[in-house]
Amino acid sequence: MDADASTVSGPLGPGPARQLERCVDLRSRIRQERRIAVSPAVERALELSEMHLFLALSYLGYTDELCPEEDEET
Amino acid sequence: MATASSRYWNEPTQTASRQVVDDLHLERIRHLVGWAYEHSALHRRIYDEASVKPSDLRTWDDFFYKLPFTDKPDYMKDQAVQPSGFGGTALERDRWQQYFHTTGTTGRFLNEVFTQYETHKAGSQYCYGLWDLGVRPGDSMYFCFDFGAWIGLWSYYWGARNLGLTIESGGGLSAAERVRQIVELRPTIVTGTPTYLLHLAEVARREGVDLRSAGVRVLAGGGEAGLSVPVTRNRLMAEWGAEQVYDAYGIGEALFVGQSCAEWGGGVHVIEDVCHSYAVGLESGEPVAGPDEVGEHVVTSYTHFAQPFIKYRTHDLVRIDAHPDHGCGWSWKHLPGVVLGRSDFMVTIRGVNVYPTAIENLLGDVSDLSNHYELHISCVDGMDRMLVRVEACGPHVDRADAARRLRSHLRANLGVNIETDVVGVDALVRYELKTKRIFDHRADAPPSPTLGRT
Repeated sequence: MDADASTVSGPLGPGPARQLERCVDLRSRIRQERRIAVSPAVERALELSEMHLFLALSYLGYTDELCPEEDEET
Repeated sequence: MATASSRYWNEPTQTASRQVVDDLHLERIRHLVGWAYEHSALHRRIYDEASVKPSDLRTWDDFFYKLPFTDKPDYMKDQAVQPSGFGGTALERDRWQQYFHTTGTTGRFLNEVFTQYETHKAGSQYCYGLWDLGVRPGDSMYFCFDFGAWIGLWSYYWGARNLGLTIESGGGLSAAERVRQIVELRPTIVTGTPTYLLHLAEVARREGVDLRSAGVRVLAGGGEAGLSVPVTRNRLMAEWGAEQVYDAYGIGEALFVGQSCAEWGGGVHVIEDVCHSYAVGLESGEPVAGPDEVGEHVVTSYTHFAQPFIKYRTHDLVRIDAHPDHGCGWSWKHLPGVVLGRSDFMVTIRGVNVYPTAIENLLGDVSDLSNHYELHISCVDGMDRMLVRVEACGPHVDRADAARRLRSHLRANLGVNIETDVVGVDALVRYELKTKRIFDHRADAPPSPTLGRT
């Protein structure tokens, strides 16, 4: 399940909200690339980049998910 | 770096209004309780026993008055029956990346587990305070210790990497070798417990090494109270020639959730991007009335999802100022004086929390010993030490052998070297009233190792 940018809310003001929306969209695109990765090396590198990106989401007040693993478990 | 001139590591949350920060907390906590209920058998059992479902958690009153606390014994009991050896876990083992342990009151380690993301998130805690002190990517941090299964050092390391610092390791070296290496490498920051940083200063003097010539700007650490004590801070800065002292307040299960800002203000800020924090009355379990009232610190961690810690009793006694105003601009809660005492009974030896109850439990594992014992705390060359003096259980005991076995058992279970002395039967004083077991011989010993109930 990919995060849907249209549902993103931003309690920290318009600047952080816009950046949060862009980062959620970026995460969605990274996840799409992971699914079609041409090698384990590329897939793992994309997984790590998603992990770091999730840090940015958490800094920006993201509460839809708690951790990158969450939607894999639900 | 486009944001290098920013005063704050993460201004949107770090300076947000109390209302905005609290709204975020409630959202995260509600989500986290649901996650724990669905994925952790321990949490589901605790909440079911309290007849609380995640959907019942809608307001702060629900959180404060309906949701049950969790505590270290909950996890200890669970890990004892889990095939994995870990309590309260909520993610499968293939997602665990690193294991740690922390001391417990029973003398057994509490096992902790982290996913890779959690190590990044946990490391972020340090960035807020270090950034505020003017530390920037390209600065360097020297680590004095060998890395074991103690999470504090690892998380400092994650934080240094997160911030983009150059890592300099003093692992595997003696204290004398470390002071020479520090002078040679000239790190921006040296990290260690205050006791050990003072010890290094003494070793440097003895070795004829001018530690002040290393140009160390920041002394950073935690694990002991010293970095929040003005006289110790001043002594450290004088010994090292450092400009700043950086204090980090840690809880074994939720990591260093408190960090000092550049203005210091006599304490640490709660890093509210990584946890929710409040204080409760010891007997009532209800939120304390105001910033002047001491209560037990209760935290909910946002760095633990593989092993959630929600409304977790730390047993640290704190005062919490929810509206600090000492000039730093952070809106996050502040703990003046950091940890003011313990609601249980604990002393800290070289950064490791040692519970007398744990020692008493471990004494029972070693043959030939009685249950008459004393703990003697002293300071030698700036290093805190503990001696366990215990009576043999009979006149024919090989006391030297029993002392060796006890020392080895304590080292294996507590993770710190404790001296042992096995004495003859009836050698220790018997008290008519409450037995005095702890003797603190340090010159600056606090009047009591605890301010709470025992």
